[in-house]
Amino acid sequence: MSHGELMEEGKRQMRVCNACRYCEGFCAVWRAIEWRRDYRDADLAYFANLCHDCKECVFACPFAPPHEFGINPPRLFAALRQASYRKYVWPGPFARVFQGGWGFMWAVIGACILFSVISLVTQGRVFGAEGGSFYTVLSEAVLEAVFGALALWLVCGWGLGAWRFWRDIRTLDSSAVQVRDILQAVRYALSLRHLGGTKDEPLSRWRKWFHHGVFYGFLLDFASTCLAAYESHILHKQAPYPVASPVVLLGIIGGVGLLVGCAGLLYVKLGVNRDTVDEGAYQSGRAFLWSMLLVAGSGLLLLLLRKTSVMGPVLVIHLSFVAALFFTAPYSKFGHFIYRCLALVRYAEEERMHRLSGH
Amino acid sequence: MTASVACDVLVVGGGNAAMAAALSACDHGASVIVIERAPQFYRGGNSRHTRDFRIMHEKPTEHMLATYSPGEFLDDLRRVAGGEMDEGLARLVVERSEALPAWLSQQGVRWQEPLAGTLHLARTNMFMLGGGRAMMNAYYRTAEKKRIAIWYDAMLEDIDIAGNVFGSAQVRKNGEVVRIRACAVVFAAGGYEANISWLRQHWGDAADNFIIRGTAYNQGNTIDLLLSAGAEPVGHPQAFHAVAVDGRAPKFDGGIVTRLDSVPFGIVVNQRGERFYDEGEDFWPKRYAIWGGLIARQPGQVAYSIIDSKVVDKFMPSVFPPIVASSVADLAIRLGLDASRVQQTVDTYNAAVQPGTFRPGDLDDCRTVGVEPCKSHWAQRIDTPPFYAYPLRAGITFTYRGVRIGPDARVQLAGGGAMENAFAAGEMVAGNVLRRGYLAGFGLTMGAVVGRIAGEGAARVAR
Repeated sequence: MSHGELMEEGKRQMRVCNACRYCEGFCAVWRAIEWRRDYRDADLAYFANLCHDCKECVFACPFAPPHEFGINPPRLFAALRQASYRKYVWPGPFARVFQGGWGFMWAVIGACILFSVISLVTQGRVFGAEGGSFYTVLSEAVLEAVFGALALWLVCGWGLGAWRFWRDIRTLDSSAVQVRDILQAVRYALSLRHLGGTKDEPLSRWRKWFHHGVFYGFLLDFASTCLAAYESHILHKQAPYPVASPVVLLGIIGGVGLLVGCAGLLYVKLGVNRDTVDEGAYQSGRAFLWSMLLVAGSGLLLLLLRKTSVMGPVLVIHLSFVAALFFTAPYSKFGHFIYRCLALVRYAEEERMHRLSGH
Repeated sequence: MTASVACDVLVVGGGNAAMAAALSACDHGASVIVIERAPQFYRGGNSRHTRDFRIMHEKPTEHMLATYSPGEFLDDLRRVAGGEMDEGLARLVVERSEALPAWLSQQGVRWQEPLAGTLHLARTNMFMLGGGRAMMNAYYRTAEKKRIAIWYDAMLEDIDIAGNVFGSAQVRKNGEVVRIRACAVVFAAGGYEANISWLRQHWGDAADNFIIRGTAYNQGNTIDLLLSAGAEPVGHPQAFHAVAVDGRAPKFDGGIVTRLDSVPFGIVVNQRGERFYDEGEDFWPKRYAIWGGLIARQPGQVAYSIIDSKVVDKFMPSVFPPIVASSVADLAIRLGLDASRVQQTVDTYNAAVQPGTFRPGDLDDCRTVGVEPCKSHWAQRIDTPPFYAYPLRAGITFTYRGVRIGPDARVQLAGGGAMENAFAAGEMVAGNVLRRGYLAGFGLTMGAVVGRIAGEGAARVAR
């Protein structure tokens, strides 16, 4: 289906939904639909990113396929989310070449070669000394340069995508966003308020908890990395740190959260009704979960083997996974939180305005 | 040789009343088989298109505002009944309705918050979260958990009734014939509105132009079998509940989305380009139900709602886009009507519109003088292009013809007395309380109340 056809199909389905409104108690999307009579392309992008894919609606819908109206909001919104990532991400051409599982694997291979070459050139050996510090494999300066550049790439990519999306989903009559709208959106996001799940897909009700595992696990690992940087640069304490240190403990807890969360979400995906998913979105979600799983798994493996002779190769592999994750981040499923959070801010603002006007 | 199975209670049908009966029979110790004629996706008959129960309550509840007394509920029923109502059965349904929300919640049905909702009926009606199909999913989940056997694509072909005792049923399941012997049976298989050839018997060729809002599986074969077996009929065979729906709606199963709310905001003309009824008689929810019958009696069973751009955003959006034109004559041509006749109708109407203050939320003072039929409220000139039109047809919601039951839900016999072990509920007994007219949410309420009584009664007989 072309972009234009997808937009027309989206508007057709939204007109049926707005004439029905039986789903209005389910989630934020239905209220946002009811607040409008006509739908722009950007409204569809807004609804799609507001949708958390819990699927309550499609199992409640009397007009879902095989009915001739063919109403299938989870599949529609998943396809529209993919379309919105394609439309708003920067850099667009990369997104087309490096998407999905293969894109990630090419990035891993590239990073692996890069790190090996750098190691060979700067240290004289590919995998450093046995049982030694990580910096005998790749020096601190190299790591800072590579990951600093990747962080800049990621922030620019996400930032530009966010700006384009936000500009599009606002309309002339949108009111100004207030701090409380942002706070409300943060509450919705941190609690995954709209990720309910449905009894018609028994495992789907676990998604919220697995997602919490991934998200908070990632935050803990990020905190661990920041703390390590602080210890290294400010306190001049060199890695590796003892297992009982906050850096390692945060890393372990976060890594386990990521492992359980990603594995759980992958398991849930196996059981979904494929009629309710968009194949492209399904594959891209799966690729992202695998990439996170590989990052977390290799990180924990590194911790386990850091005193052994294979530390060098394991470190290079782990760093390659991390680098590939960051490199693909602007256009992989990783960036979905940006669009979802912005949609939640827009929703919080609309919700407040409609409460004021008594609707 | 025909395969044969046995159970305590056989339930024929798979909608709200049938599942209420099945679960209630199961809870009273019976082994239950449910036969649903439709495939799994279309299970639940017309219940999958419903959205609310009308519930009596003497104090505010978690899901309902203020109070709705039995007296007020009965008055509301009498108002729509047109003088013909079974008071005893009506009172029973009203009184038992109070206990329904708790029982339905136990079956897994969830509810919308009382202040939310498009229809603003939070005092009298309770809305299922997600509507009828979500409710049916909950019913079936609970039934499966309780090990009630559910047969889809299973149609009742024949019943074996000796005197006033049901013995067995012949069922065609996925093409195979199976005989089910049961100690008791509950019939809850809906009306016959989807049986066009039956409708033709009473409406002639007009039946071909009706739209059936609900399931295509309500063929009335169960009613037919029961009447042939000596059950006492109830309800006039020509009587149905019909509303105005968009003329472009699918023949079956268009459900709620094909309904149109534009009528009070403009005029309605028939194929001859003439108005035929007061479009502003009363609030649309109260008048909504008469328009199906009105259109069914127009030539070609079709009509056209015509409005102008002043009011186009005053009603619920509809699923099909309106037909648009820059002049009334152009609009008429697009509708395939006589342009000069429609122009004349609009001119005559416009000339009759009196000055007033347009207030869509009240019975306002905008009316016509000197035109037949008059328009009593919300009459504004149709003069601001672009002009819009929606084709209208009669959309049949349900039929009233069925079998008579007693207060214990037992099927009554034409020759006097009642069936020993056969009960009925749902749309096929709708005519027992109301012969005509309808009160929003009453169908589900009566279905669940009578279904529960029937299921419990059947389980007691089976014991």
